[in-house]
Amino acid sequence: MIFTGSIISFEAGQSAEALKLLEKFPEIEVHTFSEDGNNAVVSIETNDSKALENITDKLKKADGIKDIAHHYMYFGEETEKLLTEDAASTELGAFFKSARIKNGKAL
Amino acid sequence: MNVSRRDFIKLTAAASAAAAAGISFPEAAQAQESADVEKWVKGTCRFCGTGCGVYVGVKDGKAVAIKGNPDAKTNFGFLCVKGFLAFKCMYHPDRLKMPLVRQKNGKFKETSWNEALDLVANKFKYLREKYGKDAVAYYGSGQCTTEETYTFNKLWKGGFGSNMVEGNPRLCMASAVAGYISTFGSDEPMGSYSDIESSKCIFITGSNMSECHPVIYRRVMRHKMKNPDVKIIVCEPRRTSTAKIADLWLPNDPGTDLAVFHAMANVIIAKNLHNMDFINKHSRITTGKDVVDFEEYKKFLSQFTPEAVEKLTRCPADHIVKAAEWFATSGATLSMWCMGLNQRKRGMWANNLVHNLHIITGEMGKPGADSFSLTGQPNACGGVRETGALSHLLPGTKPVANDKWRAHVEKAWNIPAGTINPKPGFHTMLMFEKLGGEKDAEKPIKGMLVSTTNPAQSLPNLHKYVKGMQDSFLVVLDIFPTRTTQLADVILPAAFIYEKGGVYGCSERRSQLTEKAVEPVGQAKPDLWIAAQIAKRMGFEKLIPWNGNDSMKANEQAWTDYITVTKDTEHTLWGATYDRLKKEKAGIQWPCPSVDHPGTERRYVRGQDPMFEHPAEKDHIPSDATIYFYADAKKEGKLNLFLRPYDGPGEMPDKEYTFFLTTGRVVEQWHTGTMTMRIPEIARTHPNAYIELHPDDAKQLGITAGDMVEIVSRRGKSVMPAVITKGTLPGVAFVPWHDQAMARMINFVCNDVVDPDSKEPEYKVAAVRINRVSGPKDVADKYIIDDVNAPFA
Ligand code: SF4
Repeated sequence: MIFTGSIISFEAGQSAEALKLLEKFPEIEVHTFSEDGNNAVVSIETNDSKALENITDKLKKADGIKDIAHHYMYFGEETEKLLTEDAASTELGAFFKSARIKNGKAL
Repeated sequence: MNVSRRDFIKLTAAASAAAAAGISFPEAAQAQESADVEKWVKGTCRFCGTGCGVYVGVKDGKAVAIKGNPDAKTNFGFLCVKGFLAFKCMYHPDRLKMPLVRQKNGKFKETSWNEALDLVANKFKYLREKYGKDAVAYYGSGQCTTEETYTFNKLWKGGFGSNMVEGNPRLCMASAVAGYISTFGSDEPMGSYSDIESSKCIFITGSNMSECHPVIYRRVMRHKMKNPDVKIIVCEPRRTSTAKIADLWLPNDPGTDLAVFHAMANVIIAKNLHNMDFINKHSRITTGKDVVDFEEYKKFLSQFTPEAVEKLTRCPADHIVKAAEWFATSGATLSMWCMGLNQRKRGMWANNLVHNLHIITGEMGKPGADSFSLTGQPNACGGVRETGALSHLLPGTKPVANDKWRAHVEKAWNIPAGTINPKPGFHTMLMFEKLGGEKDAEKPIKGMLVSTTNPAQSLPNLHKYVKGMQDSFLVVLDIFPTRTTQLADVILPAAFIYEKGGVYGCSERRSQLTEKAVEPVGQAKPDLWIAAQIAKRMGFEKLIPWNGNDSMKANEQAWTDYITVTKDTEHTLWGATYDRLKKEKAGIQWPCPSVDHPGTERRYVRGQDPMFEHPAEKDHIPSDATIYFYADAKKEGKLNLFLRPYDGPGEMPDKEYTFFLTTGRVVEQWHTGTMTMRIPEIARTHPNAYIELHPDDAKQLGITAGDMVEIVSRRGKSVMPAVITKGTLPGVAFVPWHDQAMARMINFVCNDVVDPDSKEPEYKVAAVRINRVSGPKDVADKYIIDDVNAPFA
């Protein structure tokens, strides 16, 4: 699991629509807002960093959302996976399928 | 994971983000700040030259979390994707974990540290005895810590008596160094990143900062969003993602911008927008040889009319006029640039001409106004530039040829007078040209130690230099197998920054300490330990006594040695003791002459720059001077305003090679991709190199998106897929250079002609021929080298 602490900035006057959009993402929990209401403090929980990347991309392109900035990332379980080379790690699994040099030859 | 622990981590994450953004958060949650993390260790990001502050969260001896440092003056708690995902490099299964020595059968064999270090020390001794003291070279990196770079530099120059010391900043920043020294008399900028938020006009040239310095770009973007009246000008051959936020884009053919800068100066003076008082008071107009008067400068500039320059550069004349007006009249103009100006045959001149614009308008020495070079690597400034780890420099960025300074350094290092060679060593390209095997009488350099860089992928005109690396005795310190380890005789596994600690100094003269957070993987060791162990084995233990196993203690000894040598220079970090660096949350900007000095946001301004009161400068600064350029070699306190004739790139497109080729970085990838290509979410975004072509060119060549395209120069060729985009000028092609796949290593194509002043090669401009080879093909993407025994092929 990956957890982030992030700030989502809304376009001026569009926070209500943006919040409705955020409700569609079960991974996102809104904790509080800036005084002017234009920034939301959220945590995001995803299975892996690929899923986080997808959510970030979607939000960046969404109407009413100006920006998303991550300030904190917890990746303890990912570290464990990397250290044990866990084959079940979908990310690394996908990665190892990519072409690489083995014994002097490109796969 | 149980629900309460999950909630706990989420609350902590949110509280931390709120703190970074200055948003109040329920106190109960803030109290949970350390959920699932045993300790937070302060540090800096390992990647670009922005110098973002981080905290690494550690549990059970492993890095489990990372957060931006909200107190950092560079990033205020925000990090880009590379900063967050550094842990994936640290724990990647491809990390080198044991010393490796190449055997007679060509394969590497794991050995003990003792065996590997003895071999390296004995071979270096043998080569130096047989072929002379310059027979072994050091090639370092702007990614080594300051302590490491300082130590290798001291060992070579003070121990071996050899100036064969270079580093990859020669390939990226040497023109900026030469530009600052020739104009200001001293390297590195006057101002700081904080000028971004005070500026009224930002002139970005030769920098795609949205890709290469994302956090600085974010500061620029937010400043513009808050202040729509702020004008942003981008001068760049490509309509980069940075150019997209610009109010004005000055497109120009690669390598022709010297004419654009002169034309802007011409317009400023013709429209009487210049600041004659500033020019008279603070500058000397010079050709480099002779001092001339303002009228002569004006006459010289008059040939650069916007219309004439449009013909030469393809930069629209009306854009030049508008840019000149905004530059001169905004009230606070900040210029920022990077490799686009530096990696050029006339890189130093390009730097001089941007400084010129600030001098003639007086746009410096006040908030929001500065001529600011961005650096590409995290410690090119703090490490290589400031410790003087180039073949012509000594610590304090002062020339080896300077008798007084050489004597001072010899005294400080407690070595006999005359030990340091007054003659500069070879610059990087010459060093690699002169590197070869023992049988090759033409090659005086027989051995080389390469640390934390990958010249077998990053040198331009690569074909010319591979054999020398292959034939010589090559020792490589790195964390992963690379193209360079493929040519090595000995590979020494290096520790990652969070496994050893050390100081990085970023673009704004700010030195920040990273504390060791976790133990190195396998048997990897800090470069500092490796340097000290080699020194010990070669009889230089007294010179480099910090050879113990406690990396932070060794770092502190090396740092203290360094700040002692440079104590009375304008680079002084005497007040930045290790104890203080540990406590300071945002590092310290030099000059910092004493432990009670806060560090310097702006140089050369009385009341802000402590050198005005420093015994080394005080006596020759007039007591009524508010701005004074005390580093002026002529001791007149003036800047050099240069008349530089127009000079184009090393090669221009012609009948045979019809296109300009320019190269650069993309946001996700870092340099030769040895780290970032191992981070899946980064590798996916830019899994291979590609060539960007304008639709008109593509049509003419019969190329459609995805087609395989051959790029041929006088030096070599590459084959890669095409991307069709209006973001580049017709006739100009762009290729990013992170791909390790042999067919797509664009440096085989790039030009290695060097700037005669800075000796930096011209990566940014080459003349090439472009042909369609086939339709789209599945290329071997996300290509990395994970087998040390794989041949260089
Ligand atoms: S902007 Fe540069 S220093 Fe900052 S997090 Fe990104 S890569 Fe690291």
